[in-house]
Amino acid sequence: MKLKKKRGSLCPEGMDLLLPWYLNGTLGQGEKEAVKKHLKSCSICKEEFKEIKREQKLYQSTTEEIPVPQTFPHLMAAIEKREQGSVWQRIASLIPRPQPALAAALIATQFIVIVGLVGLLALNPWGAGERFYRTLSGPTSIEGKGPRLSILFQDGVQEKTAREVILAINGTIVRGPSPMGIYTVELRSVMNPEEIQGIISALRQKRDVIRFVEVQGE
Amino acid sequence: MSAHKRPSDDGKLLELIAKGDHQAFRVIYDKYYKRIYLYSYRQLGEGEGAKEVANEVMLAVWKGAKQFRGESKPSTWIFGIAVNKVRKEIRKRPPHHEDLDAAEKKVDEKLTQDDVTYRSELRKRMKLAIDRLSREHREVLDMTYYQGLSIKEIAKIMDCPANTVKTRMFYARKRLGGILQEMGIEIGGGA
Repeated sequence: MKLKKKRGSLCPEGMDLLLPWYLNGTLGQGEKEAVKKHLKSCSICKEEFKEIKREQKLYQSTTEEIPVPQTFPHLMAAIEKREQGSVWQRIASLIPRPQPALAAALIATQFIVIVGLVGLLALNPWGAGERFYRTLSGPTSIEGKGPRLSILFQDGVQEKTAREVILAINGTIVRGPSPMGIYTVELRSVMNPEEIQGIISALRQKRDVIRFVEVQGE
Repeated sequence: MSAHKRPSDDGKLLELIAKGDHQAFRVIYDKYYKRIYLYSYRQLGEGEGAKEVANEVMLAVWKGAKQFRGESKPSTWIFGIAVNKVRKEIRKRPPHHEDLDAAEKKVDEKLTQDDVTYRSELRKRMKLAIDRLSREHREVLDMTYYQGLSIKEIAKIMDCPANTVKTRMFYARKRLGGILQEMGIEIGGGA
């Protein structure tokens, strides 16, 4: 039989439009009964229904010989791999996630602690650092009231040695070295002339280190 | 084609899949994979792409089972995923320029009245005819003739009114009939 469509002569009631679904059994009960009844009396739909059955059979047969691959193991392997994720994801998954309220409280606490620590360091109530280390020069000493000495070290004196000498007299370099190599060293406290003289005498005895020393402004 | 007749079973299976149940996934896979693969095969015209799409659909079912709210039948939901994936795959591909006339001629040369060969060639011609249909026509024919979906389900998947599904099916059949007629298809009484 040749498939010959006569679309120009459709069923006047339009029931032919429902026939594919009458065949696949998905019409509602009402429509199903209506089509069933209609088919008994409509020769157009009767013929159409036969053709639809042949079409469907032929349609379904087109993939009869196509082998369907078995991909389930491969699919499961892909799923498991995806679920396991990376090492870091697995580690992260072991760490319990805090509740939002708890997380917010933790963040607020951290913020308060950080602000407190910064404030404490800024105030420096214990004078930390000053007690253990001070530089030989610095802004804190420039405005000092102590007497100032001009010191010229011997050639070849190492920085370490010079430093020891200055620290021994509790001094701070406030200027220098000048082009001539002279340092201006300020003593840290107000001293009477005898004390200053004593320091100068002591320094002058270190001839292997100091070439020249005198009080400024004399 | 009984998926639409047992929606509650599939719905329960999807619930189990959402909880990570591999056995439930296996049941859904056994039930739908072949249908999805063959649907993709008929739409794309080749097996490798069809396998890839069918796997993607099953992965989407595994991952998306939690999102299934039961607003449609599970089969509608699953085939909706399949239709979208296939459409996406078709869009990615360059336009199809197969020489259909040459392919038909090749089939003609083989055509004999031997019953087995005849039926085999008939299938090949039908496949060629299906390939010449538009995507919408192939979709509606497949969902009706092969997947056994209802008008309502197809309308939901294709996102169009039920009447559009009926008329689309009508024109798909009309076009298919025209192509088959051009190809001189003789079905015979027992086909």
